Amino acid sequence: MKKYIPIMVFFVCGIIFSMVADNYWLDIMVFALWYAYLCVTWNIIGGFGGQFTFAHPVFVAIGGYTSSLLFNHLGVSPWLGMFAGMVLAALLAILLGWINYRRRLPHLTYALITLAITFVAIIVLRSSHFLGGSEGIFLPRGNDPLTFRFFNKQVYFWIILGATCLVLVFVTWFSRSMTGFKLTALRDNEDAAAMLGIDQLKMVATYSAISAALGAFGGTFYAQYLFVIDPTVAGSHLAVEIILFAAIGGMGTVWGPVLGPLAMVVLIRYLNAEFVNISGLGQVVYGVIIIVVLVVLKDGVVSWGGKRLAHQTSKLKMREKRQ
Amino acid sequence: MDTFIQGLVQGLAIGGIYGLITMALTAVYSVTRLLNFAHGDLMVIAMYLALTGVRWLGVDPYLSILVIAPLMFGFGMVLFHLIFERVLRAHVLLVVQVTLGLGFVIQSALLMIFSANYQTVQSFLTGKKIVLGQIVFQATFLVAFVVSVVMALLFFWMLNRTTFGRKVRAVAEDPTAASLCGISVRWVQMIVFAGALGTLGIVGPLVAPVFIVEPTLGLHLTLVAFIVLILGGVTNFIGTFVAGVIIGLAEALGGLYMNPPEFAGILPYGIFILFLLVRPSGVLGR
Repeated sequence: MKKYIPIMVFFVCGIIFSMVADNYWLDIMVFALWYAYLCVTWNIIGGFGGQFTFAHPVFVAIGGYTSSLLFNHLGVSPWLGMFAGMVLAALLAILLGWINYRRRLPHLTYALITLAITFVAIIVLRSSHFLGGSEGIFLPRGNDPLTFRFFNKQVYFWIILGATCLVLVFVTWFSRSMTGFKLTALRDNEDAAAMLGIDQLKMVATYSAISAALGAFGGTFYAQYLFVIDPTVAGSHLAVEIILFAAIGGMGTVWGPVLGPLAMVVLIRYLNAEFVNISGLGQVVYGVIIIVVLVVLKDGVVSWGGKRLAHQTSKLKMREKRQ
Repeated sequence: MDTFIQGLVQGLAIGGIYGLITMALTAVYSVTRLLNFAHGDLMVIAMYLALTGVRWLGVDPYLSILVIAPLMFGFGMVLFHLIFERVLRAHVLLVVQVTLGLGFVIQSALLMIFSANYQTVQSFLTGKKIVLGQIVFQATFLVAFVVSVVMALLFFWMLNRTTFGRKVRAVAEDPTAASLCGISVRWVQMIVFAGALGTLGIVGPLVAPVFIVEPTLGLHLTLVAFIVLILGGVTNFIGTFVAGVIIGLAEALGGLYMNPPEFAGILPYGIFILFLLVRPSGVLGR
C-alpha cells in the first residue's frame, strides 16, 4: 500500500488547492492537469513501452468528436458517449500497431506512421462537413451533471484530478507488475525480449489500446470543458507538446509525466502573461529549457534524480558493509 | 492534357526537392546515426531568411542563396557543437526528444517573429512561363528541378570521387576503423552536418517562391523526408531520388484530380502505409 501514498497526497493537495484558488488559477490548473493526464496516459506506451507514438492527439480527437456527435445528434450523455470514443480510439491504436509490428520494419517507422496519422486526421476533420469542418463541433452550454456540463470550474478540476489519480494508481501498479516488466524489456532489448517469448505485436497492441482509450477520455473532457472541439486538437503540435512535457519530467517513470506538464504549463502561462506583447515567448523559453535539461542530464528530471538517489543509497550500503 | 503536363512538371520539381532534402538527412544519419526531427524546421529557417531578404532588403531569393547557404553552414557547425555532438552516444529516443525540442523552439521563435500568417515569396521568375510548343509551365518549378538534379549529381561525384567523400563513406561504414586510419571522425561528422544544413540553405530559398511559407511547415517536411528515406531504402541514393519523385508526383497530380483537392495531402501518407504493408524494403529493394 505504501507506494500509493504519494498519489493520495497529490489528490489531497489538489482538493485543497481547488478550495482556495480563484477562477483564473483554476482554469490554468485544469489545463495543466489535462496535459498531465494526457502525458501519463501517453507514457504507458510511449515511456514504459518505448513506442514513440505521435498519435495521441488523434485519440483525443476521436474521444471528443465521438461523444460530442452522439450528444448533439442522438442526445446520448457524454458520460456514456465517451466509452464509444474510447473503443474507437483503441481500435485505431490496434490497427496502427498491427501495421507496424506485423513484421520487422526499420526503427522508428512506428513514430512515422503515427505522425502521418495526425496530418491525415487534420485533413479529414477539416474537409468533412458532417464533422463541422475547420470550426468543429459546438456543444450547447448548460449546467447539468447528467450530461457532463457544469458552470462551476471546480467540478471540472475534480474530474480531471480524479481521472489523473486513477490512471496514476494503474501506472504505479503496472510499473511493478510482470506485464510492465515485459513491456520495458521490449523497449530495452527487442531481441532478448523476443527470445524470452514475449509477443511484441500482442504487447504493443494491448498497451497502445489501453493508452489510446484513456487518451480518448481526455478528448471528451476537453470538449465538455470548452463546449467546443475543433480539428486543431488532433494536430502534431499537441503530440510534440505531450512528448516534450513527458520527456522533461522523465519518460518511463510514474511521476515525471505529471510534474513535467504541471511545472511547464504554469511557466508558459506566467511568461505569456508577463510579456504580453511578445506572444510566444513562453514556448521558446520552455523549449530551450527542455533542450538544455535533456542534453545536460541525458534524461528527464525525475528519472535522473531517481538514478542519483539509487546510486547514493547503494554507496551508503557498501560503506556500511565494509564497516 | 495541358494541366496534366503542368502537374507532371510540378510533381517532378517538388519530388526532386524532396529527394534532395532527404539526401541531406541521410548523409547526417549515415555518419552520425542521428535521426534529426528538426530537419524540416531548419529548412523553414532558410525559407524565412529568403523571405526577410525579399521583404526588407529587396534581394531576390535566388541571389540570397549566396548568403543564406554559408550562413546555414556556419549555423550547422555551431548547432553540432552545442547540441548534436553531446547526444551522439545517447539512446535514439533521447535524440528524437532533443531534436523535437529544437524543432519546437525554431517553430515558436518563427511564430514570435513573423506571426502565423501564410506568406509568399516573390522572385523575378514568379509568374514567368516557359513555352515549349504546346506545353506551358512555370519557370520557378523548372529552376527547382534543374538545381535539385545538379545538386544530386554533385553529391554523387563528391561521395565517390573525392578524398573527402571517401572519408565520409569510411566513417559511415565503421567509425572506429576510420578513426584508426587517421580520419578525424568528429571533423567529418561536423562537416557533413554543416553541409546538410548548407544544402537546406540552398533548397529553402529555392522553394520559397513555390511553397507557401508558414512556421508550422517544418514537421511536415521532416515527415516527408523520413517517408522518402524509408521508401527509398535507407542508404540507397538513387532509391531516395526515385521515392522523392513518387511522393512529389502523388502530391501534385492528386491536387489536380482529387475531389476534394485537400485530400491530395493524404496521398503521400497513404502511399507510405501501403508500401509498409506490401513492400517494406522500399521502392528499389529486393
